[in-house]
Amino acid sequence: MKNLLLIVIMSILTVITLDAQRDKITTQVDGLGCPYCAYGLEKKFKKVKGIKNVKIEIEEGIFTFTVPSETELQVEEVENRIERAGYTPKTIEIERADGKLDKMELSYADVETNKSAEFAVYGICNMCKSRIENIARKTVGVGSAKWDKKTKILKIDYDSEQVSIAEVKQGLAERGHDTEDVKASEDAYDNLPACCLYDRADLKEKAH
Amino acid sequence: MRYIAILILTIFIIRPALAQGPPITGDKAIMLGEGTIIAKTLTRIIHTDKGNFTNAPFMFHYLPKSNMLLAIHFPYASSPEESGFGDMTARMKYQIYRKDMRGKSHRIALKSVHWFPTGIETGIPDISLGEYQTSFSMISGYETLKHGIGAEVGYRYIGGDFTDFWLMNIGFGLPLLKQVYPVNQLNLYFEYDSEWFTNGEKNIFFAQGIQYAKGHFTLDLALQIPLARNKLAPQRIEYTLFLGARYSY
Repeated sequence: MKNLLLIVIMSILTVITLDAQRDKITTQVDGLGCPYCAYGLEKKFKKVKGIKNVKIEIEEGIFTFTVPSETELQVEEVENRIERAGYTPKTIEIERADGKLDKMELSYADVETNKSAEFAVYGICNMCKSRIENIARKTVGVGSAKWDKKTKILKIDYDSEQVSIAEVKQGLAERGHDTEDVKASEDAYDNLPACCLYDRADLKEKAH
Repeated sequence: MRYIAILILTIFIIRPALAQGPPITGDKAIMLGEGTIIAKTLTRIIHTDKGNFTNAPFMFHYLPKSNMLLAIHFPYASSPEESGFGDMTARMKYQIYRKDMRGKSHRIALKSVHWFPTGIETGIPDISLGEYQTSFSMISGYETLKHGIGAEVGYRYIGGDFTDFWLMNIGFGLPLLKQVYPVNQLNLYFEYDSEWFTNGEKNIFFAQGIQYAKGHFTLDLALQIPLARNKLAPQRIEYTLFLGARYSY
């Protein structure tokens, strides 16, 4: 009897501990005009490993769920999935089990632009696309940014009185993305999620 | 009976995905996300002075991107004289505008539909003509948690001796229950469909529909009555009944 009680207590503690090792994701999504839209959104996240506690408050557009910490879900992936579901993410917060908070604001200020530019930015996947475009858009003076995964070309519209291309490239390099003339540090590159680790050696070969 | 059995099998076995809370007789610009596969059906029974004409398609939709839909419809068609395979259709919808706000969305899409002459000749374009047809249209939809408005404007070319027409549709959706997720909806639809023939004739229809959705299931029922009829049509349309069932996966 004593042993049985011990096993039950141990099991409960194990479950509580495992549950505590989950990251909580809270996003605010625009465009959810009906419950069916919410279904489309949830559907796009069904393949996220270990997803649980899905809740969508459609009136506020608040979408929350949890994933096991080992999934290491990134804000860029959340953004990418919401976009691919056909809706517009506004904010994404990931509250890590260890208390760390990852946050992405996707509300951009309106900027009057007077110039356009195109240059190569190195990345490899849809998460890179979300990150590159978001970094560029968050740079003061940049009005729009579109990165092509195949060609690696980033097209931006910007106000040349507020920002220079060099500053945009520097911002990208600080987050791990090389451009032709501004390289990311080894640390910044290593901090990219595994799926975003583009082949730098390959780039060097191409450059030569 | 055999048709009903096929219908039920299609809904339950093919593991269909969602056709999102759509207008019943019309179309909408909001599409579900990239990679979605949809299987659905919507039976149309046109009651005329010559008897009943039926079109019951099996619809397969695929979204290669969140803003693009490709679809193919395999219809069963019947007229008072004969029944069999209807004109197969292929369609494409491409969203060109999206403006999302909290709890609401405005979208515009371009749509193209092609009917292939694979079916029986019933004399009614929406049932089966055995003639090539093609249409191009623009759909606009504004949807909020309180109501939805959708409109479609386009042109339909019809082969053979049939007359082409401009189409103009507008629909209003009104949810009767509080909008919650998971889905539990009872929606009313008021839809006006019109066909303006190049010979000056016209068809104008009004449809009153009701849609019930619970979890993954959706049931549609609509009754469409003519407000103006094409006087040159060989049959006089009295009313049209739409019956739909969907299962979302």
